[in-house]
Amino acid sequence: MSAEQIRVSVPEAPSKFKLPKLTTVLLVLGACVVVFPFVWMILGSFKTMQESSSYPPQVFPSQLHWENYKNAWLAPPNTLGKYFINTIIVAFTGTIGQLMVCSLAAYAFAQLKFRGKDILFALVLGTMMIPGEITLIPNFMTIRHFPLMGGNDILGSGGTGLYDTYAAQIIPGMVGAFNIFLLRQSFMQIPKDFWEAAQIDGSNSFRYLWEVVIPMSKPIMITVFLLGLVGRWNALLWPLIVTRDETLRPVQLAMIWYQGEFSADQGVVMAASLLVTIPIVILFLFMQRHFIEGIVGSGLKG
Amino acid sequence: MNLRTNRRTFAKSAAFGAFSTASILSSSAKAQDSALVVDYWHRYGGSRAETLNVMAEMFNEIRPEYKVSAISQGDIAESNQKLRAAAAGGGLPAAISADDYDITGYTAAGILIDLDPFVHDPDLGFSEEEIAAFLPSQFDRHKLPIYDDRRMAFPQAFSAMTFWWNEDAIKAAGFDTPIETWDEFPDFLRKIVEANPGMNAWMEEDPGSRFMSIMKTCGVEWLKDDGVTPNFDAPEAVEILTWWKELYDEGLLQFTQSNKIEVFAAGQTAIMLHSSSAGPALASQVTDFTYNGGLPPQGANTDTLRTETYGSLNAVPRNSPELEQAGWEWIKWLASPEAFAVWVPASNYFPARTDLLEIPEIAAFYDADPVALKLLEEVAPAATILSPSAALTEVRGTIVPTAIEEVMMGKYTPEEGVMKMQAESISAIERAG
Repeated sequence: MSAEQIRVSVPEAPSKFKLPKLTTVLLVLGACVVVFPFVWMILGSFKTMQESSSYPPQVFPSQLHWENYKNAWLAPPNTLGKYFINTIIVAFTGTIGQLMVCSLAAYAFAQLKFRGKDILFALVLGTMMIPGEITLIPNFMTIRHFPLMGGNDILGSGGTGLYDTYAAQIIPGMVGAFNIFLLRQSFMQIPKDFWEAAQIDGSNSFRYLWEVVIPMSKPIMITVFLLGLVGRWNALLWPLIVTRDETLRPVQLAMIWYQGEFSADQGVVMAASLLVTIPIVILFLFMQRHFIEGIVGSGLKG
Repeated sequence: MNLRTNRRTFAKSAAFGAFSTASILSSSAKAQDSALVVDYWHRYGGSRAETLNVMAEMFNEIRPEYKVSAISQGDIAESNQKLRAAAAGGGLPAAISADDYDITGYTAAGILIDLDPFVHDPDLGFSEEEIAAFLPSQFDRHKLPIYDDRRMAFPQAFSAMTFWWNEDAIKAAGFDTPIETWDEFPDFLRKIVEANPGMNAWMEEDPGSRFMSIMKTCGVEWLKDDGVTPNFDAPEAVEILTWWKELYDEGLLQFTQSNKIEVFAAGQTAIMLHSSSAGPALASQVTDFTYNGGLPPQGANTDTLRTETYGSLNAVPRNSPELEQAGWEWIKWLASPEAFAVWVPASNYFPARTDLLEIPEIAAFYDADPVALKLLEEVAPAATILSPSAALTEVRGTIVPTAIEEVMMGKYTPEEGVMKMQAESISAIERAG
């Protein structure tokens, strides 16, 4: 039998991944809608103030004004770099802490047997129904009256507690019901046989979590990491509430320094926004495969 | 043995880690000096925030016993949340900058102190001569019956609703100066559009505020003299809504989400009702025509010229006596000639005092900007606040604009529209207490 004959005889692979044309068009249109603000931001970052505020809007800059980036970097006190460093400290420390706390909780809800587990889990999930605005002031009071910190006594009085520290920006977000739920769902998919085998090897729960469960849940861990990181990267109100010192404030609060009362140099604002956005976009591009795997694996739908 | 060593190493590492973490996390332990730390929270950004930092440094140099930090707390809504969190959890600043309706809210919540004891204190207050130098409408802006005649805030500088116009457009329509009363306004717009094909007449982005401001310029406050009954049943309210409806039906009044400064600066609209402090934004954006500004048109039978005051005031939150005094001394200094010399050119706000035009920096600022000087002479003296009320935000932000929209859409007549405003505002005022 010749190669030609073989080629002819093999049935064509089913075209189940071939998208109908209309779907493709709709997806491309949707992608354009999503990408448009980003493209507008890039174009805007090279415009003069007059070009940015022209009406009707001018799409392309007459020439590339790179100085907008320099001005954006230098506008806030201590430069935008200081705010970046703060954001990196808060976002990475907070997210890693969140992963640790949430995976321990999720493991307990997924693998351990204890009385009241279901009620406790329902209570944890119930906290997702409480709007952030409701918890803002109680959280602030907790930070402010944190015992033995910032000059406070054991009862949390007399000083400032954790107010105006990195800790105030990091600690309150370290526990998240949604993340516990995501991780629990993933941990529950690991067969019990693994735990039994680990026990025979002399493993305890912590070692089993560290050496078996977490490596097997890498996609969902990365998903939780990315969601947490993006949330912290974009945080505005909470860091504003708990800080007074510009040298501790994150990058979103640096945006204050670009605003005028009725007008701002939109070219500089766009340049600053782009600088703030780029790191998180790059991170997502590198991790998107795991992120998508994590979302698919968790059973979540958009 | 190995296991024990590992545990010891682990314990040491954990202890080191905990210590390092605690060190990083408690990084707020700052060097304390003998000066009393005076936090001043404001809602300015950009160059105004930088100017306030400079002013704080100036104050700290002349008053080394204090260390003022001017701290930007985001926009009006964000700074409001921050202050309310501090009021609940502790850590109120020594002084704040806030807008009229926030001052009313903070007073109702018991956050602010009465400033009159400081104002009239022989050592810490103002002399009679100094008090006479302030515009009375600004000096007493928040000394009001609803506060039991207490003085809950103190002016620094202010802006006011101003009538801005495209001079080229109105000249093309045969006007050398704009009209002076609202009665003439609809025909004024019709002639402008007729003479300038393709130009829109008037765009508004905040109809509720504008409607209530125009009521004020017609001599009718939105609250009656008792301070609790809305005034939307006044004949002037129906008249205004009636000519708004006519202009809307003719396409001469449009409601927009666009930034109306940008629209006006692009020559797309002939007139604009906006803050007097929009001057620098217009100066930087208008390139193709001449513009000017002045007092908004008034009601035909108005005996007193009026417009609405904008801009924040300074106040002192409840604190320890030392901090309250420090807060007062700072905000008092902000109303001094040396502070105005810096703040007026940087902010384009009107100074609250009338004795400052001889100061070289202020004189130079107004010499360089004749429109700003015209507004200072014409608009500033007429500026007073909308009647304060805890319900003002809801009335202005929801009740009035909703009724206006329904009238414009033809759901209600103007008469029915103002009746709806009246009824719903009564409920809102009752709810707000």
